[in-house]
Amino acid sequence: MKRLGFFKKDFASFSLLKAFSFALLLVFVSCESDDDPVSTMDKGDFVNGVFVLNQGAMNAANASVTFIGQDTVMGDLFTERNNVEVLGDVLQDMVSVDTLSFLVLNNSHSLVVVNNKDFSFVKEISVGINNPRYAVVHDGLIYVSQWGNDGEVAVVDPEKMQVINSIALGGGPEGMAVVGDHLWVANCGGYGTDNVVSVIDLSNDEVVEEITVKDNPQDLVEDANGDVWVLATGYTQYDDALNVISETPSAIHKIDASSFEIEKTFNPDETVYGKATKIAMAADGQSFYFGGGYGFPGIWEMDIAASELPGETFADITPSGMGVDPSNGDLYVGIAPNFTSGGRVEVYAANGIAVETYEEKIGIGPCNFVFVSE
Amino acid sequence: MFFRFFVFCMLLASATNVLAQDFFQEDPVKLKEVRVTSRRLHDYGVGATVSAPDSGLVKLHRNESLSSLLANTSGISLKTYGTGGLASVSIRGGGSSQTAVLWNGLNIQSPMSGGVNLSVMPVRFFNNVEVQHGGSGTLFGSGAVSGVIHLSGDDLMRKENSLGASVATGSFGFGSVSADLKTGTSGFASKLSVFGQKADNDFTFTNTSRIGHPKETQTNAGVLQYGILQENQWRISEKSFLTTGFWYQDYDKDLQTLMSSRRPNVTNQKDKNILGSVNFKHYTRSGMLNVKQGLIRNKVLYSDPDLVNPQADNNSLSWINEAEYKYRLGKYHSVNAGLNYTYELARSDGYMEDVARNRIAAFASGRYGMFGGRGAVVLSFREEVSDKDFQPVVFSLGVEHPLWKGVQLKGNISKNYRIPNLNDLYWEEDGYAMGNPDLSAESGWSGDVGADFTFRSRMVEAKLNTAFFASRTEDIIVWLPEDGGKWMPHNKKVGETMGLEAGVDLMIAPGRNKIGACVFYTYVKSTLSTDDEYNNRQMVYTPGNKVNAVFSYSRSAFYVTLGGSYTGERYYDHQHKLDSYTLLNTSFGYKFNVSGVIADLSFQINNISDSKYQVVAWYAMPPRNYLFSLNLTI
Repeated sequence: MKRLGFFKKDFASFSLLKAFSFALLLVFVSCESDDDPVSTMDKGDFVNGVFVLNQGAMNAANASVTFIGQDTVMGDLFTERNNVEVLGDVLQDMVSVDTLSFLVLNNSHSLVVVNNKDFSFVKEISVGINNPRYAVVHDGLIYVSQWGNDGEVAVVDPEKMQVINSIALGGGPEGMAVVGDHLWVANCGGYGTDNVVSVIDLSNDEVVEEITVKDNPQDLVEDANGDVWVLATGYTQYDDALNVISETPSAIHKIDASSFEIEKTFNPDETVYGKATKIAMAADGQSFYFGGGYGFPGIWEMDIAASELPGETFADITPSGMGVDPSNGDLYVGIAPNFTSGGRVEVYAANGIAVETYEEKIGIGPCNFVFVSE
Repeated sequence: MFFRFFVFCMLLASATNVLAQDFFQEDPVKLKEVRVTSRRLHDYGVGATVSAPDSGLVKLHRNESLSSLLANTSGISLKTYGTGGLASVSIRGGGSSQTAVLWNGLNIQSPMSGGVNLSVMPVRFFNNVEVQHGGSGTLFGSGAVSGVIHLSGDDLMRKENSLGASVATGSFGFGSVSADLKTGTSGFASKLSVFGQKADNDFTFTNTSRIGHPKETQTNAGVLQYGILQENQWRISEKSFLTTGFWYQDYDKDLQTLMSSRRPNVTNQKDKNILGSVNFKHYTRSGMLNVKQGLIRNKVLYSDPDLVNPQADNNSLSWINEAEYKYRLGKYHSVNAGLNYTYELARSDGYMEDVARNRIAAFASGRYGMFGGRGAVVLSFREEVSDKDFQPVVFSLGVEHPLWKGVQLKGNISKNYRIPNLNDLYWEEDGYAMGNPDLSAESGWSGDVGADFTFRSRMVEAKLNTAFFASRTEDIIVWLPEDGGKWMPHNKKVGETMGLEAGVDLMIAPGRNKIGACVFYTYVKSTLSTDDEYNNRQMVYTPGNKVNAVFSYSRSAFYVTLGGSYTGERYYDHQHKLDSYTLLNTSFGYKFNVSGVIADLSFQINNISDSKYQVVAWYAMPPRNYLFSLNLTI
């Protein structure tokens, strides 16, 4: 979803800096250039398709990666390509820098580095990694949000393949987006609660702004106008006798990325929208999808100019993950009916029509998508 | 509901009538029986396979916890979360909540989770461990779907007074001490047993979850536990006996870091269990009245410093009351009927408020003896009402038939049930899960047929047991994410199990030598099906093939025991399997007498072949290790 934001930026605003930050995809993309001497270079086994990250069941270490290509689906990429039994425990995210991809394994407390042409194992980074959640790339460095070490963003040098810095944040740094020269991080509270979106100046890795939002912000995306949309789930607090002391509602905020002011706040009725946890920006940056509320089978699409929440669902399913294909705007939805057997991926065109369902070779709990072009 | 109860009463009455038509007296030798172990198992568990761990095996594991013993016991599959960690038992492909564990006839399964942590309990506290295979245990109530483990002590008034003590020390910081003192006369006897054990479990293992399979040292796996058991037995009169038991256990276990995690785990689990039981037996001219009462208090404190509430406290209390009367009808026939009232109370950080449940059950069995007592037919019924829900009437019909000398045919068919655990029903709605108060009981059918062969000569005693079993359970409760979100239990799956058990027991005693051999093979095909998953796949953590073997040899004061087990591959999710493994343990020892004190010195090697194996995925298990122990008895 975070990559989605970048895609939007690459394709919608053509910011050079942002394009640079999106190095992995550039590797795949740049090979096309006629006068580029690397055009003869091996494009690898994974072009024009999407990596599906299957998180697996916690403690079972059965996370896996599936690649959906134009006419093929390859499952268990890591274990098959490396002839090993295990990738790791709870795969959350994957980013790429140059020819390397970095897989974020939450409950293994590590980043597994693979060659992104053939998925061969390169290294595992575990020093300084503690309960990692998501990753983004900027200026050749990888930023990893982590619940561990009291909540921080770890900065990983992909060449040295080690953590070179850490930025202390609030409780449970979760979803991130690079917006201009800033890294925006939603502090979701981790195992508790927090209500701050931290803004980090990427030139010196310092927190320059703390925006107070509704409780437990999960994720954020940037729209075509450069505004940031934050999805917060709210928080329910209990006393020792487990009575509900307080319960705060979920919210969707629109924040001006230059003034850091909250411009709009929508309060989704939880009986209608559930407590949505997933948000993804459409390819044109003019609308976004949200959903993934506990027990609420619905994905909604909201126009960034809308003055109220959408009345009808975009699709009547509960996503365990969402991602938008930047090339055609298709919404990929991961569905996990349980965590003991493989899930499925449903693809919806931007007009809401279901176009494809993949069930073969999808692993347990498909939760994230990484799109690659040629 | 009332119709069902009416039907139940009718069936009960007709069964009693049928069985009342006989006039012989049952063998009165059993009158002197004082042991608390359920007579119901022996008199009415007819047609079922009932086995006890080989005595050599018990000796091999006497300084360890019950989970170590049962892991190597015939026909049992033990799911152990790392060495010394939470261990739950299953029989014939069932789950741990489908296997009842009875102590002195009282069901000690947690009302919250349905499980019993066998790692908490020392082998030394139970002189009798019996395993009832299959659904015939249904007359012991909910949860006895795939089998029952019966734990009980000795008949103390028949034993000589004694004082015993033992110390053991072993690899990876293992140490245990225990002692027991039995005093009394033939009219009153008591026994006090104490036990303490610790282990660091900082063994080296090959991390197969990492590329290159590096050697690593296990972290956060230590355990410290102790327990005390006090038992009394009174002969109040020639015909009345009273027994009491008090048992306290304390278990402090660091939860083992998984192989797949690059950071040492920091979580810990503390179990505290207090159990008390009173059992009164009164023999009359034509029968026996048995009244028992038990109070079980469990506390499980789970701590994880990373959580907002770093400790999760779970408490449960069960108060069990049972009265039954056995009426003898002639020499070989009898009927037994009783009532059970159980009150369950749970207080948990996972519940909105305290949860209480009242359960009343009525049960009855009739035994019709045949062939001079060598064969029998038993029909049993049980009906339970939990709060206001009438559970289905369940029954068991068992037959034992001596075909000819040395061959006995047996068979059993039963209808079983398991009521939902309190966690299933009342887990408070939080961000991730919620209980489902609308759950109904799991119910199903199971049956088995088999034959036992025995051969005896002056020097050789051989037994061959075989059984074929099958079962079908409907409405199996499984937790699933609702629409991909919140986890909630549903009556969803259908479980089908079939399999074979075959065991050979051999005892040869040429001269002063004694050779014993026991081999047991279990084949289980166990599948869960729903419309969306697991169709026709073997149930997770259920090995298709399992072999247990124990060989023992002794010659005067010297003895050696070799125990082995083979566990076939097991699924741990929809496609991944854990490799099969073979474990071999041995101990050799020498007994000698020092001025009236019998000393037994032994040296034990566990996992002789240094097998690399996992019982639960990514919990490393220890390599070859050693144990040295000294047992003293006066």
